[in-house]
Amino acid sequence: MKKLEFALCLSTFLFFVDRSAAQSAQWTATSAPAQATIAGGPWTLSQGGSATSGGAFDGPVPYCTPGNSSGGAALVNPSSTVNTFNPYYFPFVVGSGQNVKGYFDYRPKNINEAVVAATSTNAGQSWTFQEMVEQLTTECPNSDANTSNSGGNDDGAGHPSIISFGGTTWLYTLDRRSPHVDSDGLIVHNILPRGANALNPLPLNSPFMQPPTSNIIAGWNFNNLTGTQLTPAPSTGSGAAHSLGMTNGYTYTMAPPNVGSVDGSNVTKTTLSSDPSGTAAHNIGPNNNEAWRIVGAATTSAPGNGWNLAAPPCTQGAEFDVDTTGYHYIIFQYDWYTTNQGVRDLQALYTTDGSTWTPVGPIQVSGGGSAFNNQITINFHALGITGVENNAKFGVRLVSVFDPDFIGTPAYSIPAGGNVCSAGATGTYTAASLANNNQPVVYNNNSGNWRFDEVNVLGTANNTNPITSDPIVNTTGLVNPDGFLAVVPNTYPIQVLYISKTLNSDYVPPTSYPICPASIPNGNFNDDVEVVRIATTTNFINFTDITPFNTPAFSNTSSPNTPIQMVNGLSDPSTTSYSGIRWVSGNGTLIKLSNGNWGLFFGGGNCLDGDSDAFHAIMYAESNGSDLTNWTVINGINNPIASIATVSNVTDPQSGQQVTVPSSAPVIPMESWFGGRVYAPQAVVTSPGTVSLIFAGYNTGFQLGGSSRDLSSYRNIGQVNLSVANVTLP
Amino acid sequence: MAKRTLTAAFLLLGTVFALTIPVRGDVIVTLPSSYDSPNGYDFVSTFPPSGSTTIGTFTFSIPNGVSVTGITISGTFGNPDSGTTALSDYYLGFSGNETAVEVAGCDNILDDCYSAQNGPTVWSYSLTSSNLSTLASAIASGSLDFTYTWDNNTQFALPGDLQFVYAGAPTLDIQVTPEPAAVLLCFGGLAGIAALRRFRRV
Repeated sequence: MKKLEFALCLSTFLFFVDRSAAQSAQWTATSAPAQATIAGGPWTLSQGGSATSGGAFDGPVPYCTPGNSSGGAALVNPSSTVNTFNPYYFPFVVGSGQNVKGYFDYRPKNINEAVVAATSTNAGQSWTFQEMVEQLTTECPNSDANTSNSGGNDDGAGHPSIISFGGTTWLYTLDRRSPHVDSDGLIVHNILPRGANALNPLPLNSPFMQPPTSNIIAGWNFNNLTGTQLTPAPSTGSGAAHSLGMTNGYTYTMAPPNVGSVDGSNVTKTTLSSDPSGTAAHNIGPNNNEAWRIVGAATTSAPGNGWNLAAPPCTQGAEFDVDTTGYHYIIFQYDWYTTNQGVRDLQALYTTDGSTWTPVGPIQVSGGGSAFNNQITINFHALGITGVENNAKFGVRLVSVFDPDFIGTPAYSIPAGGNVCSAGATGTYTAASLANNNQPVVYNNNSGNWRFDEVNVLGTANNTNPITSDPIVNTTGLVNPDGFLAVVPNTYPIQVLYISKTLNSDYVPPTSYPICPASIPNGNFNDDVEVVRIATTTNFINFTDITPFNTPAFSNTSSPNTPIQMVNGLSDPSTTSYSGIRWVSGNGTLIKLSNGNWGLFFGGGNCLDGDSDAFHAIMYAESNGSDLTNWTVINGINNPIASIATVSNVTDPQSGQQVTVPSSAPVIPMESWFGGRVYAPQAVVTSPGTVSLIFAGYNTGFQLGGSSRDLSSYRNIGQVNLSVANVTLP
Repeated sequence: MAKRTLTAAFLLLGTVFALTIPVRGDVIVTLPSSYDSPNGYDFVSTFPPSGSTTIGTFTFSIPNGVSVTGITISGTFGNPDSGTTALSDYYLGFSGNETAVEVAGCDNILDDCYSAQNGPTVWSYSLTSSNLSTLASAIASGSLDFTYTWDNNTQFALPGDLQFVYAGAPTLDIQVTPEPAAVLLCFGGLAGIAALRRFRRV
């Protein structure tokens, strides 16, 4: 009998031990959500007045001083002035306990956008302004909504996030300008914080402001050209272009012998460049238009493809020569396309004398093949390279170089004191398309090519621009990044979860997803495909995407879903269900849990919103052990951590059922200041059982369009305390 | 007579107790964080680094009649400027042997000190009796140097890379106890007072 009792006792114990190990975190709010405050800093919404009167132009304390029609300079509040913390959003908070530092996207609608750093000594309830940098404009608003000012006044650098590694700090921002947003890499800044200069050495003004009166000195969009083009003429201005290294005597195959190539560079239609003047097609335009293809002609006598492993680095590609006489603040921009088998790495070179070529900027890495890296920018003035100004012999070469990421023989190396073009450089060219293990593979020596579009040399005829030391350097390897979701601590190579957003692409191949109906609050549509992907980096600029292929859950019978690269379980970009998570937003929080899982706070949304900004709810998921590619949502749309205002009795597009969302009360009771949008949760661990959750929200009135829109309470930073059961926090 | 014996026994026991269970007091010293460089980091070096750098000196005064029974030093890897730091080791020492006792080390790029995203990371170290012996003369003189060295970061850094050390202001907690002679003197005094009171009553 005693043995039986012992066995029962043991099995019961083991049962509970097992359940305990498998249990996920359970969150409970221990305070009411409250709007945070900020001491000091730029103008805030509450200084503009109420929902029905005042504003940035003519409120009690306008955006500019003296303001109104007199304009003036942007207000800077003293630290003794404490305001409600708006309009700021996309917080990125670092630290633990009560003393934390935050990076915020300051974005008064239609007026400006900047990155702001602030500190808090009470885990995010109140903040003290430290520094603002990278502001887009110094213009004053000319009305409360500033709608008649120049367009895009708040499309600057947004969604700040930070990687801290070994004493180095890297700031990443989203380039929100059209057509850069969600196609260019994130902008990378290496910062050296010092006390209140938390964003040292970044300047107050963004390089986006420069040059203020930019002109295209010469530009190539290739749209009026056809067939073979060895020296394509510019579409704007004066300049010369020619291919490099396509006529050669290299050996392409040994058996049968295949030797030699002649230049056959030509113009061909290629989709998804930034060229705005092409023909819209398949919902992916307006960009299905002409690009310049650098390739061999593959004739009978010279059958080579042009690109060859035997070519010394920096000898194959294209050259653009533009006389900059009379111009300053020179900027070179270009769209670069690689086919799957095209060479993976590009280096830009410049000359000031027509004969000596010097590398400028980082090695550009293809995003994976059959895709453009759009509007790669070289801001020569920002880099301190003024010799290219007012220079009749200025030119840029875009050429292939050995792949630093290649693991194998010949190993990559640069001779001491040399550069990627040096004769002593060793390595090999690799293909844009990676192997199944996400490693580069050696270029195949017989196919693949590069294409260019929207190649522009810009400058300004006046010489009044302020000098900046703030070059625009973009990440490579992140596919259509919209910002980081989280940086994975204690990893090397450093891993990040990031938001990949492909604009206007949901109902075209290869995805062909069911489209969302018009959104409930405002009738908006959205066709963006947005997924969470994983990438690694060792140098904070060049990333390698390592996301596995997964199949979104929704599938209609006639067209099963094609697997795409996305982490599994967090979202379903094909769902139309009001209970599903179609979109995920950046600036979430990853926490290592005592149960062995990763906990992830994140913002998400669905077809109810008609907006891929993914602001319907703050949700919570856990990984499957340490596997960051497989997730289970614990607090989803219907039982979220926080939600916008409840949507009642609507017909779910997928099930046809009447639903109310959320169907269960959120962990955090809804308040009006985040009733319109809620996202970007930053969970600061304050004890082994508690976090302070800092997040962003818009009031319900903001979601109303047109003149009904309430501009008095949006982009609010809020805070709430949560406690957790079943796990302990680090 | 019995009362006198009892009093004597209590005094004896008290003396033994005082000698075996020290009466502890702490001297807490914080090293000023003025070593922060104008560029935001504490120290920077081009990889590969070499040598050691003394960050600052703890100065303190050990009261007469007490002895040092323990020292605990605590601080952070990283500080409000940066949550992480270069691979580096921290030491207590003195002129002629600045790296006498290693008190903290950020030794691996996967450790919190180097790659956690929510630093600074707290560290703490209690000196062993051997450590105390090594530092005895410096402790007696009321001065301990705080020194750092860079690790040879072959895990990540490349020749020419900059290595940034960020550290929070460390705190030295010195535990002291009265010396036996002082205790005997104390209890002798107490015994004297007791005897005097008894003599007066008689």
